[in-house]
Amino acid sequence: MKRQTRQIWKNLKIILVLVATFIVLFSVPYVAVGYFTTLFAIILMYINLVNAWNLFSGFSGYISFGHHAFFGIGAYLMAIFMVNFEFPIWVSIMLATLLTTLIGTLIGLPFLRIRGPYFSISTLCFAFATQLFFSNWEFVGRSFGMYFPAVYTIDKFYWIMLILALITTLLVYRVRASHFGLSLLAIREDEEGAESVGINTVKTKLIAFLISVFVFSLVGGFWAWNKTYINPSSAVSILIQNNIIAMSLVGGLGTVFGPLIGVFVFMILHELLYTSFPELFLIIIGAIIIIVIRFMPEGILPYLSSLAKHRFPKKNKILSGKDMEKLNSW
Amino acid sequence: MRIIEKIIYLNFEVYRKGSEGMQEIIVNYLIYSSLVACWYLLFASGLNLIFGVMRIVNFAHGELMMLGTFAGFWFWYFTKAEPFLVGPAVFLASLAGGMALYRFLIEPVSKGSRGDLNTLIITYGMSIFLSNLARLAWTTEPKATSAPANIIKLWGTAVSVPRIISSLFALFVVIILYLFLKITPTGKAIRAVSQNREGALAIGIDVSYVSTLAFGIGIGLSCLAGTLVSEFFASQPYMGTSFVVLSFAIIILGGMGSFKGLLAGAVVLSFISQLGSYLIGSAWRSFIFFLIIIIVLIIRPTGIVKTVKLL
Repeated sequence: MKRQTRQIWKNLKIILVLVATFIVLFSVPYVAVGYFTTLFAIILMYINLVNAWNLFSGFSGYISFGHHAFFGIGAYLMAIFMVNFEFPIWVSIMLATLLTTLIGTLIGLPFLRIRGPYFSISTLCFAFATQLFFSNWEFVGRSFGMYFPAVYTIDKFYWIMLILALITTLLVYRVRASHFGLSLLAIREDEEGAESVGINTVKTKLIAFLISVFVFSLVGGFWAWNKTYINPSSAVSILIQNNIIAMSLVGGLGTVFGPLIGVFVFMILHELLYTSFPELFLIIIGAIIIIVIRFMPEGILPYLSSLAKHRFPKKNKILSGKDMEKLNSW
Repeated sequence: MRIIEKIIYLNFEVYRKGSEGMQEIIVNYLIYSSLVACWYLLFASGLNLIFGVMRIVNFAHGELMMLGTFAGFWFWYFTKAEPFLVGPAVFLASLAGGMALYRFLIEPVSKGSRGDLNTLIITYGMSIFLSNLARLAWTTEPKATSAPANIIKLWGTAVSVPRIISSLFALFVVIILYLFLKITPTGKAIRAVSQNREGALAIGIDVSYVSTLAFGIGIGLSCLAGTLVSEFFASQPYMGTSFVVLSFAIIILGGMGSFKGLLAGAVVLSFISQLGSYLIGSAWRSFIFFLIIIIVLIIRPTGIVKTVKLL
């Protein structure tokens, strides 16, 4: 009885904290000034992108340098449906996302057969090709770009990103402990081994890839709508990809909550540096990537936590069966 | 549509100038393609040593070449002498730099099961770091050496002498590299390490030293290629990425680590891309170029040359 009430209280506490966080985040547009709403909206947008990228590249070890292509394709298709065909926004965003996912299937099937560095090179080539395609296509205004009819508020973008961020975070959290997530991790460690124990590697990789493509194109569509103007160099921007990689590395590749904290740390750094030294910013990103990989390849936060554990060791405790269960499930 | 327009235009040129016009265009095309092919060969052989032989993916290769290009430009800017004169100095400096880079950044992270992943990401970080450092120092404005002064006529086409010398220099360096790998003991050791790391270790080759040297030579060749190419292209901080993709394409086309394949890949890509810019214009050309690379990667990651040999 006592144990049960304690258990309920514990769960209630977690739920309360989550609800409180959600309410606080949800009310940001009402309370804060425009700057903070925009900043938080961008942070939430990057949380979505990092979650999606981490779900595919962080878990499966297939490092994609070209996911921003799907972001751009989503944005451009959304623009085409909304501006050229004059569909309503929700219809055009749905159509754009579905079409991008279809393109993702066509791209993913041959690409996922390529392994290791070749995969990274081909995704990078794909992103370059996409950018060049949009900047030469007469229909979407070449490198001049496209304008949207401007009817939007930053609040709506913020709330959409918040709900999406909640969904993607829960998704990554669920996947990490599921059979599907473990299969992905097995592919990262040893693909032949994974295949030999009966994991359908092709299907697993493709599903993870498509989930990430779906999220990228959805976020890209909303982003374009929020920007009201897109052109090839802003929609298919390698800067987005670089930011995502740096953020994931700060938090640790293939973990659930690390990248989230990575996004916050990175964005605060971004705001502090970009306002005063915009030229230095990318140099610092490059330096962060180099230093993290060189000295703490597991990620900054896991490194710090292991350092803290080393400094302040807990009292020795014999592991009970329950603890072992917990360890195994993670 | 553009293709057809261009072909009509070419035919019109021929019509205007008679058969001489066509001959001029063809000679121009052949000369420039072969000059560029020599340079492609040098640049790709640097990457081939690192990627094909050492099995390290160096995404920062193009950025290191960019540094070499700027070295050539600034040499020309201050002394008004031809950039290839500073080539040997650039090669030696970047050889030392590349060896240090390997010792302090690449080698420590390339061990373990996630070694490939780590080197991939660390060189990607290096490429971001270097290109933006260059932007900070020299801005994004393209910097070209002035119009060539010494011009000779080859079969009716004007070609600048420094460009010919640069290309011959590149070819010469590649031949020396080939002989170095074939004949000298160090070159043989490099090839041994590439073929079987454990075996090389067992017969007493200092694998770590040989790897460092090979990496340094690869970087040195890429910087030298950059210095030589400042005769052809304008220096610009973000030029590296497209060139690194290009040289990956050459290596992939030719098959990793193979010297003849490299030669074939460089010649084929140079002639195709020059033909593309004659026929379709440079905008769609790059798009089709990336498309070709992707298709080659999907169909035949081991290289076209090996496939042809099998047939």
